[in-house]
Parts: sequence; C-alpha cells; structure tokens
Amino acid sequence: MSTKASSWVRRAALVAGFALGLGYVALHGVPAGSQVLQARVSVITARAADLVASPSGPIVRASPLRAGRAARIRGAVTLRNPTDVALFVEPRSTRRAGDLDLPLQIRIVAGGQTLFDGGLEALHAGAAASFTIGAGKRQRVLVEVWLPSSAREYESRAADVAIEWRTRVGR
Amino acid sequence: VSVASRALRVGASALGWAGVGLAVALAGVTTVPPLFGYPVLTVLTGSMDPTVQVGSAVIDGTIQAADARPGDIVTFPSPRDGTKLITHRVQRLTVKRGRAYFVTRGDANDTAERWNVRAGAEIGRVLFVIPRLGYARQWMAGLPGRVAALALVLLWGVSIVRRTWASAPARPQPEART
Repeated sequence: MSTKASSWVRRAALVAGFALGLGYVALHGVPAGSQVLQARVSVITARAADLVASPSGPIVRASPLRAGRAARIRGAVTLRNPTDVALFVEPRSTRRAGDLDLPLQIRIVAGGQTLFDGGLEALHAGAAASFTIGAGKRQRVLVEVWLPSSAREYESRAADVAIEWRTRVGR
Repeated sequence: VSVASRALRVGASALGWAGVGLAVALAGVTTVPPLFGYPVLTVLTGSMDPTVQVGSAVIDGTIQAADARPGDIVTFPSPRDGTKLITHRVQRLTVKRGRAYFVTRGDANDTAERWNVRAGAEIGRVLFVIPRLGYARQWMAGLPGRVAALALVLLWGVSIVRRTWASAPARPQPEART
C-alpha cells in the first residue's frame, strides 16, 4: 500500500470514528412528552346577598376542556328570590380566571334570554344584561363555557371562574 | 516488510485514528453544547434508572416551565435544596395564576415531588442521554484527566516538532577553496 493510500485510510478512519461518536449520541435522543394537556375550568356561583343559589358550589366543572365550541361544557344554577320585591339580577365574574382570561368564552342564558355571550374579561367588566326575578320566584340560569378553536396556549391551564349575581330592586 | 505486516500496520493505525475521531466527537459533545446554551450534566443517582443510568451524561435544552408535558424528563432545582439539580419525569403539570405546578417522579422512585415555578421560568428538558459518558466527563474534569489531556497535547506537539525537524532540507556544505 502506497504512503498516499495509507494516509487516506487514516483520514477515513478518523472521520468514521467521529461519525460513530455522533451517531452514538444521536441514537440516545430522548423524545419529548407527546401528551396533549387539556385545560381545567370550574365555574362557581358566588354568594348573592338577596338570592338563594342552588347548587351553592361549582355549577360547571370541566377537566379536561378541549378547544372548540362543540366541546363546550354546561351547567345550571337555580336562583330563588326570597324577598317580597322583584329583583333585577346581573351576572358578573368576580375574579379573573388568570391564565384562561383571554381565551375563555362564556354564555349565560336565563328564561330563554341570552344575558351574556363573550369573553370572560367582558363579563368581568360588567357587560352582561340583567333579568328580573319576581318576589318569591325562582329562575334557572344556564352557563356554558368553552374555548374557541383558535385558542392557543391553553394546555395545562387551570381556571376558577366565580359568577356573582348583583341585584337591585326592580320597579 | 511483507504485505501482510504492512496491511496489519495500516489497519492498526486506522483503528487508532478511528479511536481519536470517536474521542474527539464525544469530547465535543460534552464541551460544545454548553457554549450554545445546552447544559451537559452528569447523572449521579439511579432515580431515573433504567432510562437514565448512573454515570450517564445528559444534554438539556431550555424550555419555559409552562411548555413542559407529562412524559418529559426535566431538570430543575431540588425543592428541598435549591443548590442541587434533579432530573425527573413530569407526571402532572397545572398552570394557574402565572405559576406552573409540577408533580415529577424518578422512574425508579416510589414517591413523587411537588414543586412550582413561574410559568415563564426556564427549566431544562433532557434531549439526549448518553450512557457512561458522564463517568468519562467526570474523569476528564478531575486531576488524572487533566494530566492525561496535557500529556496528549505535549505528545502531539513533540511529534509535530520531530516531523518538522526530520523534513527540514539539509544545509548545503560550503565548497572548499583551492
């Protein structure tokens, strides 16, 4: 074997050894966790001064909550007016849900009337319509919560939404 | 020199150079990634056995805590002793009010640990686990390894000087005057 040929053998061996080392490392790659995490949301009714809410605890509990209106979750609460006057009732979220504030959508329906249909921020800001409960009457209120299909970065987020029922005496 | 013995010599030389290439690659793998923000750590306990064995070297990438997923192997400061780093698998993650709440556990452990960080805080996610390389890395970082590395560099330098000396053209003798 000529000197030139043996020089090429040495170079090839060096490159092969280097490639072997990198290949050894590449073979030991660790795949990322592929589990898709859904959001966890719960809606509770905050205590109202003039109304009796039933149930008093969580009315909607979703774990997991996936994106898309089709995956919405529903709950209902019955509000009773124990007073002897009619009350205007306005739903409002008392505290911010934190990480899901922006994407979380909520719809509140009472007696066939949609009181609110929009983002949680707007509900927090007081954009919901009010409804009336007559003296000694009760009203069932439906609550729907969902994440829009376009929502991103909601995975693994958890949010507790509290809805309070603000009342004022009706005329 | 017979053809067989020459072939044997070339083969041995090739094997030696392949070894050098392998050593350079593995040394590069443990020294270059940290320069680009990918820390290399040596695994000292068997809590992640058999996925990550004692003496392995792990190369971490950096992710935001909220981007971790169950199944990821992550590196984070010990909840008990913030000076130590732990590399365990994510069991559960919840992000709430700007904080990421983790439940992690070593594959070989019976108990999980719960800890939390800011959702935007950076933690390590293991990208590569290279068995046994951590031992070599630790040995290289110690005195014997440093002495060996210095000796290799010196030997290399000496061989270059010797070759240069041997290939220098002989100085022509001055002609004698008559």
